[in-house]
Amino acid sequence: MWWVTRPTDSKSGAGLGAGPASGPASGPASGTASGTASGLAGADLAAAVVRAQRGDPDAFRALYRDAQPRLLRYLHALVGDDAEDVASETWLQVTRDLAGFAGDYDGFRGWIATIARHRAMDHLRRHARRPPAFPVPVESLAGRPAVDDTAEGAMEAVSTGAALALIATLPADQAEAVLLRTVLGLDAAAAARVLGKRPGAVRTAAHRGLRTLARQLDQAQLEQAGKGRAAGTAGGTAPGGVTQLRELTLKDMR
Amino acid sequence: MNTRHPSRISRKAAGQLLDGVAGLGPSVAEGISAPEQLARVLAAAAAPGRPDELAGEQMAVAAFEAHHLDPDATPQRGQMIKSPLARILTGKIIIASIAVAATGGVALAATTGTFSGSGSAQASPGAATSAGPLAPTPNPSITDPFATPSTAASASPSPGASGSPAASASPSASAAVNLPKTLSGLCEALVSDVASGGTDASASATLSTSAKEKALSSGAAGQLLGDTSEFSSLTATAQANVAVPDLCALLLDLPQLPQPGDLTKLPGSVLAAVPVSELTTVITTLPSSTLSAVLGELPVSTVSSVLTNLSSSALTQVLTALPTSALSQLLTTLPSSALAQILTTLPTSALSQLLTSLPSSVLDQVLSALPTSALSQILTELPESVVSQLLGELPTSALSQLLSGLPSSVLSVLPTSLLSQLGL
Repeated sequence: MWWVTRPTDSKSGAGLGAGPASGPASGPASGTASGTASGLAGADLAAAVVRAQRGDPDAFRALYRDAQPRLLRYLHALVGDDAEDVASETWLQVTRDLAGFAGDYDGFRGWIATIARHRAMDHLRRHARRPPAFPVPVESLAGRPAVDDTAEGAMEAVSTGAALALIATLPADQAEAVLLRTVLGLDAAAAARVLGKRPGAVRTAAHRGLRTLARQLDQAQLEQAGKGRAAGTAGGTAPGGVTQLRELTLKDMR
Repeated sequence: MNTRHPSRISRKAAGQLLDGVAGLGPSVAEGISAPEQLARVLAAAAAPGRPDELAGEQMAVAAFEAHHLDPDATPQRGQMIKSPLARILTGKIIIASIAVAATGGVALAATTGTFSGSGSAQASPGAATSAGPLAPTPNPSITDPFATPSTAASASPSPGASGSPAASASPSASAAVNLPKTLSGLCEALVSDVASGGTDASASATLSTSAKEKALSSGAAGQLLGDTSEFSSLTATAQANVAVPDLCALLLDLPQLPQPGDLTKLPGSVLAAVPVSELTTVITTLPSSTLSAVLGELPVSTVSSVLTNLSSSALTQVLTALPTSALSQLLTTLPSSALAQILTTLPTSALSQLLTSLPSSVLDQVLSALPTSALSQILTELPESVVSQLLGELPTSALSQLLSGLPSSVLSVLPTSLLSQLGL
């Protein structure tokens, strides 16, 4: 429940992705932003993998800073509030087994995602709990929000927490495929290796997931537009957000 | 006209959109046609890491360093949850990390995406071992309160600090006890400063638990906090001077809080980082108003762990102290496994009292969340009159659904009036 209350900061800078492309939603200003949250480019992180394998704690720290947020977001969809615990177990295993890892930084992300997934499955078995209880504040649990509300929330703020919560409403295989592709930054083949599936199956799951998300966002958008129109005819001026949303809808229709 | 389906997205476009967000291909801005809101949501999911997501960094790095000093000490798979290292990694340590975030160091660095390189200031692993615990190792991403010499001195491995309960982690974890020791070291320093009137700062090891409690609750502690900057990281973590005594009591594993009513002044994030064992100890000492506020602040998983670790009598005490509204919220929030364990742990009399106090809608929700085995156990153990009263409150449809999964052996002990009402 920690993510619900913290300030939204999604508008800033480039995404977790290590490549040259910035987040599509961050607007023209971010086109020049480069690098990752850790301030290291892919090549540096590849070098960090090698140095960490030799026991360099600073290199390990660099890897942690880049990968831990990704792991937490992925794990939240699998084990909810226990993501921190499972991530800690993951890093312990990474520490122990790192010497035996062979590959570049993309490979490293896939490798730790696999470890994280195994640890999450162990955790779920141990606690015999149904996945995934995505964290929801105590206050709102009594009347848990419907998917539509989640979509609406995600659209208004597009905070990271809201976006992850929306993705977590997908069936597990679709949510995992979407998160591995976006948050972990894996390609379909690498995501398939993490999940122990064929790349085609992952592409299908991710495609279905995106279709569902788009539909939910649409639905929320139309409802908001409807509310906006109602507010307009009631004599008030429509808030700016609504106007913008209607423009988006029109653009999408083309 | 396709106004109804503006969200159509082809398989190919989906792949391109995902590649764009993952940094593996051109972004949407560069010409892939995809619903804009969808692209926005995916980008937000992959937004840069935030400081709270790096709360475990110090511990992970400490564990890494410890492993390279002594590979055998790193726990094997399967032992992880039980090992002291893992417990520390997942529990107490977070407190310190929160303190770091609260003092702003990592927070600023991370949100601007410019973490300073963390290199030269780190002691080499060899140096760290020869110096004993790693506590005084300065770290560049941490701001003053932790790195100043005075802090390091008060947390240094003197007999006082290493003899305190908070610092008594097992040997294999000693290298990993880093920041929390600094915070609890500050608490030790505070306690001994108060107890000795500020003249001798090395006496805390000899203080009894009750003397520590007394020192923390005295006015002198509050005055020291206000007067000196030495304890600023404690104040920053607690976010209020008045909450520091309770924070210190938690960090020093004291069985009682000096000012239980002020516990609610601690930020929820700090409360959530307190080890379950300590919460379990102090929870029965809280007044009922504080109790419901504290339970409301804690993550559901923590509440589950605390409640399922309580003895039957302590559980009774806690649950019966809660007002009905807080109790309802609590019981409808817990995962069904925890709920089952808690309800079946309660003595029959307490269970009867609790369940009959619930509004019927909550009761229905609680009973239907229970696994069949737990529901069967409860229905067969409660006195028949209580069962009649409870189930009689429920609407017929809810009741028949509830009872439909029960084995006939359980149904046979239910009051006949109830069964006839259902036509069974």
